[in-house]
Amino acid sequence: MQLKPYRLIRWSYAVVSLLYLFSIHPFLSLFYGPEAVCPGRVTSSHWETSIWWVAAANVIVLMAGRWIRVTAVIQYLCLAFFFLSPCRESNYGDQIFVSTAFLLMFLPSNDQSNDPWLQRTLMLFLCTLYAVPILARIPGSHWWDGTASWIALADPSTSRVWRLLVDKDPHRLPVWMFYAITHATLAYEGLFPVLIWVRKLRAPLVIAGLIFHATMGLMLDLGLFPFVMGVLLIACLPDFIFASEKASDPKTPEPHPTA
Amino acid sequence: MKKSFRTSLAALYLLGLWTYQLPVSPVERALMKVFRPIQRVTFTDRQYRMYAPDPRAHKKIPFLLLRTDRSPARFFKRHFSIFSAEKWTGFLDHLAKSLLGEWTDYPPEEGRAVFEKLAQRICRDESTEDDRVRSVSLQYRTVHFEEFREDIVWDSPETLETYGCN
Repeated sequence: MQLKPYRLIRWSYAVVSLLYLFSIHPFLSLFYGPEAVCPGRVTSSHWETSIWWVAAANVIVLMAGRWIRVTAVIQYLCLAFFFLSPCRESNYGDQIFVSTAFLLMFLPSNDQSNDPWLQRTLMLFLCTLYAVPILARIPGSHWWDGTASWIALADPSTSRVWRLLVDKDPHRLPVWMFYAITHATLAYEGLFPVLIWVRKLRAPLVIAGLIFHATMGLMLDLGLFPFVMGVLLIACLPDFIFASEKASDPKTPEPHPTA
Repeated sequence: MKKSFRTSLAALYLLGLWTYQLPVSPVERALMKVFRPIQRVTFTDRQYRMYAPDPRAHKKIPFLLLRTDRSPARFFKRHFSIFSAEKWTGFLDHLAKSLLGEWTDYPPEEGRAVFEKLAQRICRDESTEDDRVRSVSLQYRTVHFEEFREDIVWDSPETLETYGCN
């Protein structure tokens, strides 16, 4: 089985969908269903569990590449159902995921498709996710004096390293490190929406982005946000990564020279 | 799919996304009438303005405190997986914001009803034969990030709501 852009996007989307379903599983009776603590829409028993299992089975079929058009729509509807719980979490990572799921309803039914419209739309979407917060941060102060990374890492509700940083020794890390983290974040998020359109820079930007979000996910508990950004970054991978495979694909017909 | 349909779809999606980023203005209000239904379907009405600016210099950290037969105070901590823990934290955060009147989508009365239901479940699930849960409290502590790399300052805990188990 060869690596194709849409196949890779589909697989990563399916993996993140599975992670999402696992993440909400402990809350099925607490957040959804007739005995939920928040007022919900499901009133008959076991509906929420049934929808969860439909989504889980559907994602396996989607990953296998069967009936992509149908499974992608079912997946979006199931994710939207779980997202619309009134007991919604506060970091909007899930909203970005469901919004991505809407676009991925239009995955081509054939992985061999070279039509780039969906990839370009996902790229524009990702550029929006980076560019808009940057515009809002420009007039602020924490992002320019290096404090932003300190606050994020010292926030006990989301930081995975706050005990290390605050409880034991706040001065363990040198000041320049906080400046470096803050300004590297600004540089990456500010430059990505512009430089990603330069074909030669796409691969290094995607690698930098995957490292950036993986590090963020290790340092801060942001739920599935780093994984969702990973799916969107995969959609930005340049064509030449897949080109060599295309050349060696025996199923790909040789181009016929025209007179 | 026809190319014109795909292009229109992508354009509508991205326009719906971008109109929300415009500064609040009469233009935005007019555009919202057109794009709001699209945003509802595509889930692009995310509230960037809420988290995009500077991180907050202070934050309220909510937690649940249980009083049982044996212990005067016990933190309620369920062990969720690394993917689920953030959802529990987010839920408690929203519940606390609702009770504080800081969450406009969720008025305090609804927040109180949610807390009561949650407390009833905790009373039932966490009680054992020899250690019954007496009460469940939702409390919060405010943490201040005063100066860059200075020690953070914790306020003493404040109680938002208490439920006595029957």
